[in-house]
Amino acid sequence: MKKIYFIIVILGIIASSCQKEADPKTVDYMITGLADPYSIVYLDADGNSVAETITPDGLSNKWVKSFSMEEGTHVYLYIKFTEDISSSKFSMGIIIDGKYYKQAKHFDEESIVAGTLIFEVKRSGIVPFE
Amino acid sequence: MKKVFLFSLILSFTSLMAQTSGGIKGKIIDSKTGSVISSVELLLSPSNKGTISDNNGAYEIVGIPAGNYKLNIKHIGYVSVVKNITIEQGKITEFDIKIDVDIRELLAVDIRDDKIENHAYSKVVLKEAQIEQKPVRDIADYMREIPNVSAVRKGGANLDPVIRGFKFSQLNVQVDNGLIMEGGCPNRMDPTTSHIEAGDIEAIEVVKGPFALRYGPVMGGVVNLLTTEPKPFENFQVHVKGNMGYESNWNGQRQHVSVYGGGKKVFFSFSGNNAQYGNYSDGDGNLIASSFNKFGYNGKLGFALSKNHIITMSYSEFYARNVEFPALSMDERADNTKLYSLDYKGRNISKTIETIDIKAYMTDVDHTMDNYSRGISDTVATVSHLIAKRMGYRAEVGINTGKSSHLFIGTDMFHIEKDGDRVKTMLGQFPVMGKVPVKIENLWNNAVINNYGIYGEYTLNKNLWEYVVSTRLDFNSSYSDSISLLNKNKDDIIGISADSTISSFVNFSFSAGVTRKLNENMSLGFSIGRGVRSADMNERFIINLPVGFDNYEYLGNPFIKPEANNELDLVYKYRNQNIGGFEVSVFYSFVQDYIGGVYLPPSVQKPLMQSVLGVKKFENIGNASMYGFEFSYATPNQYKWRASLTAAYTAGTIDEVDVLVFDANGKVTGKNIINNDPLGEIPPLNVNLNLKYDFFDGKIVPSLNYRFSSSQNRVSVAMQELTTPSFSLLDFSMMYKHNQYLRVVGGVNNIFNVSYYEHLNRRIIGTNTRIYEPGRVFYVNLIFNI
Repeated sequence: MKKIYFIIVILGIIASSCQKEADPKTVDYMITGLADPYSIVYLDADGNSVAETITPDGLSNKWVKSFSMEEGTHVYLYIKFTEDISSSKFSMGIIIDGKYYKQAKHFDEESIVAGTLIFEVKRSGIVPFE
Repeated sequence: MKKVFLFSLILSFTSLMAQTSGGIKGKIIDSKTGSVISSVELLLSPSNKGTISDNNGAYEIVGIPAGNYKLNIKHIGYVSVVKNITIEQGKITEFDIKIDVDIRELLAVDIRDDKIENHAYSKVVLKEAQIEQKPVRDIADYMREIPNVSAVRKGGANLDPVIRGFKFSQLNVQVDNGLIMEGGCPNRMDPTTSHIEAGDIEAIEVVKGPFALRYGPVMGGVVNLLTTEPKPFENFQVHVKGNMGYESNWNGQRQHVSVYGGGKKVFFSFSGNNAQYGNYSDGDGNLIASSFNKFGYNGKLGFALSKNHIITMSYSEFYARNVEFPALSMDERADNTKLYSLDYKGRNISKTIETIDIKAYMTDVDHTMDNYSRGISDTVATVSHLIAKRMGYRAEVGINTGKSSHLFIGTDMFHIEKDGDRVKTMLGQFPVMGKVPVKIENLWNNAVINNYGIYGEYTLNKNLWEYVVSTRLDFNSSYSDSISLLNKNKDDIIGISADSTISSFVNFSFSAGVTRKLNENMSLGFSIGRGVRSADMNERFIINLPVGFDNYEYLGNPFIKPEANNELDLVYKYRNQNIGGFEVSVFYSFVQDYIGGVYLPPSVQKPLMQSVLGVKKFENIGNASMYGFEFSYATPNQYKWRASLTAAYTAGTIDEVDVLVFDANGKVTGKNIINNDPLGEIPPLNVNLNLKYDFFDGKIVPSLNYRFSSSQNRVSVAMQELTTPSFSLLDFSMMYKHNQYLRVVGGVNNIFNVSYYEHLNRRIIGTNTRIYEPGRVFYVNLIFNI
């Protein structure tokens, strides 16, 4: 009987030491401060590229897309726009569990395409491991 | 007339001698089971005449002058015995000798207890009782205790063994006499030793040199990991065995439990294991990325068709998750390994056929690695996924060819398939046509290697001589799909078509050894051998990956010739019940067609990564020499206090090699040829002293271990190898044996928290800083067997 109790205790210790899977993280892609329509490309939780054209609603001019993502997932947010953001409160970024992971308040690249100024900015990375 | 007289004289003399001399004969018997024991050594002193018991356990020593003698009886696994005997004039005295199994031999605590077989080469056996008392989180890490065995460290776990400077595919690392697995990672994140749980090991055999040709093609040595076999029991019974350990510094814990038992006809063993380790700190308090999680299970079922015919089926699954490798550009995210094995063992088949051993096996490794923990993953996130399958068999017959001779003949075969790719998500680039750019590159392209081998080994014991001769013939072939690499312009810059990847080789290996018992205490052995091995998957087919320890990408060469190690070994052994035992081995190796890397200028091949210095292609770069020695001494078993001392050294050079010349910007501007450049990754002189004492008949055994590793300044100029300073370490442990069911072992390694690294620890990627070893570690192991 003592041997059985001993085995049960040992198995219990082993079971309690088994590792839990890490909880997924909440990832928010966010863009604010633009009044004119703009193009975006982002990676969803399955790693697929999604291209969209966003027309701001004029009220808050804020676009947010949320996902639940595992550690090690690729995150990517690209935006292309034409409006002058020098006087606006433009901001874009990737937020993980409520904290800014990557952020931009200005454009990365400026080019002229068919007489139009095009601004591009991108932020990307990997959902960090704990 | 004269001839008749001479003949009569000889006859009379012989007759006279027979009348004044005598002898002894009889059988050697196991005192518990009553079965006869063959190959037992008997030596009569002071006459220095001896013999070995034959396959029926029978022995005979004749032609001994009448008088009083001591008969020394020795055999591995049994208690050595000394009997006082009297030889009577003109009489052959007949008496059987019973000997007892030596539990201490079977559960040997010291390495030296196992160097008993009088082989002409160096063989070391580590047993379960030694392994389970140490904090063994990695088998290759633990094997570093053997003289002249070291290991390459790229992370916290999964070290890669190196024996006398031979490493990777130059060693034949296998499980249970023949199962060899093919790792998934081209950078050897997952060597064979990493796929086996220490708790499942019953013994580790290490044979140095190209001599053990029965176990597959071998060049530098054989490592045979023997896992616990299910055994029949007279009456049905079930037992539980387990080992739980904790190590501070790492905050690491591991558990292993096995249930084994059965009856006479059907018997089993099932085990499960789990290990979770965090990052450790070195002696200066710096945190080293070394965490890992490994778990798995193993099941074996045995069927006794009869007493002498046993079939065993085995299945194992091992998993690794998030294993960090700071020396590499990637970490092991997931490794799933499956091992299948079917074995047949036949014993005492007939008077002529003594043994039949047949094994068929398959291994399946699914390996995923990525660079997600590296800063560069923000711009280029890389995932590599590899599948490696290996299947094979080994079939061997042991034949009784005479009273004291034996012949093994056999055949083996393996087939390896490897495929894998590297997917790069270009997170640093703007999207193209609304999609994030993704590049896919082949690491291997359905590459295959086949090897068929036939071999034979003949041993003969004649009086005080032992002779061993073995030969081996391997038919090795390989091929893959086309090897290509597209540059930015979509041009194929390698462009080897599938037909052009086909190669085949016939490799002949042989070895011969002779051992002479000089007297009851000492023996001298000499071996010569030539072991040939064909190139492995990396060396033949890898496509632009930094797989060496220098900072270059490597390109495979399907036509690379086999390497051959020609080696001489001399082994001297001395054993005395009062003084103890020591062994000295010296060796010299001449390696032909040594495989290494040759630089390719950027006009021929540009690297894929910006962080490397260039590209090298695997080639036969010339001849290399290696030489060295091992020494070990241990006090006799009979004393409560015990000491052991080991020392080992290896040096190696390559006869001629290119050394690149760089400008201030790190660009290659030319090359020089240097002669006798030291071979890279060879450990320096190592000395180890261990002291222990048995209190209360082995109930409490404290042990102190001192280790000195000298500096290594013999480094490869061609590989830009770094030197390593010397260091000394002190470890303490205490074993408490509560009863036959329960033992506890605790201790502290690196008592003085020394900050050091081994010569074979690689650099942290992107730096010239080596991976440091752990600082002070407290550990405790609980071992139970019910």
